[in-house]
Amino acid sequence: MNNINDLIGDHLFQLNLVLWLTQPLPQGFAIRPIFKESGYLVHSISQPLALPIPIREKIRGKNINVQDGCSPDVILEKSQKNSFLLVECKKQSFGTNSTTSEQARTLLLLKGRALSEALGLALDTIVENKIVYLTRADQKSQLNDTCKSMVTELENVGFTVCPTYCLGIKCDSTNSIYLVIDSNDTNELGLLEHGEIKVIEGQPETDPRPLYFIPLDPSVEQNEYGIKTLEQRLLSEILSLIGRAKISSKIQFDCEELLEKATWGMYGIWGDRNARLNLKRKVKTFLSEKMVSLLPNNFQKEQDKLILSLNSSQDKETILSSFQKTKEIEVLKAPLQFKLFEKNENS
Amino acid sequence: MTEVNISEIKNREEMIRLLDGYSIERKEELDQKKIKKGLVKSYLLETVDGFQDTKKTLSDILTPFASELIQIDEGLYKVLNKNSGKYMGFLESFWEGRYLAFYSLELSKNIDKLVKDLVLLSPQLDHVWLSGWTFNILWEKVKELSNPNRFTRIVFEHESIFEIDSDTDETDEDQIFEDEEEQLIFERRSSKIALVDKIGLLKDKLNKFQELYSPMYSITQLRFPSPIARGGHDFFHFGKATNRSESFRDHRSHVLYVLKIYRELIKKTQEIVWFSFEKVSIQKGGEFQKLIGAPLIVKFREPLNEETFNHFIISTFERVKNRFRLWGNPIRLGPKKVHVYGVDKHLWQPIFMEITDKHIIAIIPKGTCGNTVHRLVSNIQIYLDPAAEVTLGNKSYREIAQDSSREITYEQYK
Repeated sequence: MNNINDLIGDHLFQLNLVLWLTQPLPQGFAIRPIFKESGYLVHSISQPLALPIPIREKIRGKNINVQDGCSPDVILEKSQKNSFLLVECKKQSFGTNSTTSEQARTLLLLKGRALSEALGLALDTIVENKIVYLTRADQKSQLNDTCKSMVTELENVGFTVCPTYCLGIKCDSTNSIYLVIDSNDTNELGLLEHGEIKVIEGQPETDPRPLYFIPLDPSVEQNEYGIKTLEQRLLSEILSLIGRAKISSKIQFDCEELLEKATWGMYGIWGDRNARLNLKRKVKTFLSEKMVSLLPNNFQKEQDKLILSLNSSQDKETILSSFQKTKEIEVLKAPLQFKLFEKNENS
Repeated sequence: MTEVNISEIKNREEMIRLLDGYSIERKEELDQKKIKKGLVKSYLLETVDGFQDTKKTLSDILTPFASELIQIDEGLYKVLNKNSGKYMGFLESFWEGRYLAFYSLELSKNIDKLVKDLVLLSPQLDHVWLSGWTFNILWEKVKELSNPNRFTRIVFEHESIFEIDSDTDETDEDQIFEDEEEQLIFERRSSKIALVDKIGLLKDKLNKFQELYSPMYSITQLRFPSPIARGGHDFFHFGKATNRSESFRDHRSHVLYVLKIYRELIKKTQEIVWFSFEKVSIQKGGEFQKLIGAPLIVKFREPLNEETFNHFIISTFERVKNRFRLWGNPIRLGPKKVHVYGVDKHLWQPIFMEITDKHIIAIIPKGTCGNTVHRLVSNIQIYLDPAAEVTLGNKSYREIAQDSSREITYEQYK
């Protein structure tokens, strides 16, 4: 089991946790979807938001570092109410001179109409929005202070900014996961409870992480589970393709398409082109080596695609059997050296 | 006795007459306990959602398995086994081929295996899976529709095969021990109970039986009494229906009724569980990545002990031929917790699962056929926990099954 203290600071864990906390789940279940219970749904994930021109014009000359756009990890929406929470997952607090602080200021400036415009809503839509930072409970107060100082900085030069709140994540000795919410924040955010709310029921000697919707976020440090998840999801997509193929047909393995499917479309929005290429190359290498060893005469390469001819039931059996015995994609284990998601391309 | 000559059947009316006449003869033999030929059986099958690869013709599915379809009318075919040259029965297609009923006169011992093998080999075909919870809803329909003095037959089946590592795989399902002395002794919970009684008598008692003895939640067979004569229609959990009445038309009508309920159930299931990051366009261009879907949650009534949990994981994911027909390399997260990003091998579609001693969470990616859910629930009730509580998102499976069975109309035939 990974160190649980590392886990609660892991960006991918935090991101997937937020998604699970918006799921419709039965009462009394091992995961308590506190956001869902409070009426929040996922509006979007890693949605790029541009700072509207009037704000960009106004900020110039103020000697304040902001980015022209940002992509909050998750936007939650209170259904039918035009009330949004822009959720950012953070391992720890950050300094007011860091690149993270530039993104944070952009988020702060996306208040009300500015967010409405960035989301493409109708001009007369009245939007209420707040920023929520999710971080380890022991970083919560420090992160709160950082946010306060940025708020003051922007307010001092005449901006009205979004209210910001910090929620903490902590664990206990049974490996249960808690969300730590201050009582004032609970009311402001429209959540149902405050204090330390158990959101995942733990078990002894057991890693409490839930299934991952998003298997990999190359913009942050890689973790073993994320890569394992991507690897297994790729294998399941490959097996699905082969298993469904008719005899006497050609199977087209499009590496980009496989990655799109394995990440549920997240691969396509990763901003770092090099990162995408790197991953695509690895998938292609894995598939090529596998095909050469199994049916060398049945396949051909075409740019990013591998085409396999299935001429008989035996061909299909050979390849299905081999992939079913495949436990891992070794080539994926090499470090994925990339920074991902659009938001970080500028950082 | 009517000579059955399927080859000469040229239209739907002739088929109905043939099967009606045949049913009357078999019913007479049944009454005299002298059955000479196979009863009429319907095998309810489902093709992959959207009929994606098979839209051109049903033959695409069956031809690779030595079966040829001879079209009678738009939705009706004769099925010829090309190897033996023998006609195996009729195939009727519903809702543009999404669901099929294969009517056969062969003996169960021959045709059951043939259909099972066909489903096993074809990635486009699956059985219609009626879980114990779905049967509980169908039982409500039997009570509602039938005279309380009529007899019904209910079979309950549960075998805790994972309580010991019995090294069984799905090929063992067909094993029949001819000799009692050869039967192996397994000390594990194994129940197969058949109840035959008046509906009026069972009406209020079944719930109580189930509360007292949980394997009775796992109904695997149920008889709908025929409204026009004695006998009825026995539905099995894997989508088989045997005609024990004297009317084929009545049999077909029951088959259609159950199929319609199942179709609604599949539609509702897919609406709820299909997970995806949906791309939603916005006014100013660009797209949102919206997460849509809800997980399937199975809560075990009692936690599985560590031994049972491990046997379940090993039997399912370390044996190519496993009862659940799942593939995956479990990621161990603790003594009684694994994650599997795997494949449902019935239709070769992805499925993600968290399995612990207390629950199973399944994520069904968009495109994976909804019947994966019902097969999984059915197998969990039969082999793991007959009383497992099942929800799709936060809505109970029972409730969804109940909604699917409400006010079935003729519009739904379309």
